[in-house]
Amino acid sequence: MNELALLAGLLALVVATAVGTVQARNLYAATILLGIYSLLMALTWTLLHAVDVAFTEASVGAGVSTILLFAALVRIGGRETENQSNLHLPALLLVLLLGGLLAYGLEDAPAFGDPDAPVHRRAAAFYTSLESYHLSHSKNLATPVLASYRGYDTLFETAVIFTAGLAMILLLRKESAGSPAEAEEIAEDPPAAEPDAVDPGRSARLLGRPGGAPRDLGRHPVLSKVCKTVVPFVVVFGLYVITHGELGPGGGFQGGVIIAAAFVLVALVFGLPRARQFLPRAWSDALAGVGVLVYAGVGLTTMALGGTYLEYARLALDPEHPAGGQTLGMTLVEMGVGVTVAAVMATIFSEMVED
Amino acid sequence: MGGAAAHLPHWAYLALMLVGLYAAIAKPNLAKKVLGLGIFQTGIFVFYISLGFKFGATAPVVTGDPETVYANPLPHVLILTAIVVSVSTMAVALSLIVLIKRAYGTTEADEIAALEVEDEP
Repeated sequence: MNELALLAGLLALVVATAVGTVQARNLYAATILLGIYSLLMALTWTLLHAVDVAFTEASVGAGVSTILLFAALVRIGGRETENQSNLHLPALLLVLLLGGLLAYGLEDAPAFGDPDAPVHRRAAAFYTSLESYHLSHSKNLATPVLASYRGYDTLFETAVIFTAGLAMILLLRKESAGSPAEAEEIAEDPPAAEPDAVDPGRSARLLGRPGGAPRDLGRHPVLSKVCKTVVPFVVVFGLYVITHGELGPGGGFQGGVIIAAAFVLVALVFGLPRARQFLPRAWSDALAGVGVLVYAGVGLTTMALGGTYLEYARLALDPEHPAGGQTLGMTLVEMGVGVTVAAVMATIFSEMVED
Repeated sequence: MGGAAAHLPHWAYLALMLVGLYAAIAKPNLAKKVLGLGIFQTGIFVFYISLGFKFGATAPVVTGDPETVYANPLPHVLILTAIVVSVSTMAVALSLIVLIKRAYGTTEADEIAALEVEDEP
């Protein structure tokens, strides 16, 4: 019962933060509120026993997406205009109508936490059985669902992330590698000279580049020391999370984001050019594709070995113990996911801050 | 388990979806619309994860005790990938807004619509 009270309290806070995010006129404030919202969400997921989701939410929601929103707001401006009425009546009516319909539909929903709900039967009953553990040798019962039983699904999720990275490059990257005349032409193209237009040097200053007056956080003794000390551990932890998804919460998605967070941290403190020395642009571009290819390649390998696509048992070195193949296959595809996620997150961040 | 407790997270996901949807429709600022869609999305995440929850169960990591009952990991898997996909798609949406800002000098949907009308002959 205590758990339920805690859950009710958390959910109330979550809804309150969501309302605050929507109402805040200052978009920087809205972003911070959204970060808090994500942290509260991560706690909620833990309470609901979804530890892998909590892990992802904490690294993505509270970390990467907050930084990303800040980087975007520097470029698009952080304030809503004031000349709007406070209440949008048609939207409110529509939302209330939809809410009423959904609330009516809840009558028939299985009760929360009912162990006999239809969603826990059939395949799901297998996922939570020790049979699944014996088949996959994965202590974390979510990992074989992610990497093995629903391996096709995850392959295409990874492809979606790769595509998002590609879209960012196509939309925002300037052809600085092109002819000098072309680059000059772009440079001469003045930004919209609105009175409230964003100062184009601001994002440069944010990253301490020679373009603007450098903020140079890297000279700050505490920041630079902490950053230098923490970054190697963050990277090692990210690698650990990628490779140990079968033993506990974690996997390619979380680990990839953690490694990208190390890149973002270096870029924030020492500037993007410094971070690019660790992960050059050409590398992150290539690695985003390599991860997907590793994942798809594992599938082709199992086919070449006489199995179906992503049938990991074929990878077993000892045919008597197909679980070894499962472990090997899942580890390989998790690595592919981790490489793509880390590279795409780094790409997304650097394309957003570079102007 | 009767009454309000039986549907506790359901009310939360309903509220989140409606708050997010309202923001996406009513707020003219494009970045705010994206934030609203993000909140709408997390409402659906709450729905999924609460489906996987069972009273008397624990997190789906094998404990060694054969009697342990585990939460359903299927919704967890669907949602953890969805979270990473959602930040990627949000990044694409934000970069489109950056391009809109460059082209129109504003990120307010009503002002953009007004500029579009002016441009017509």
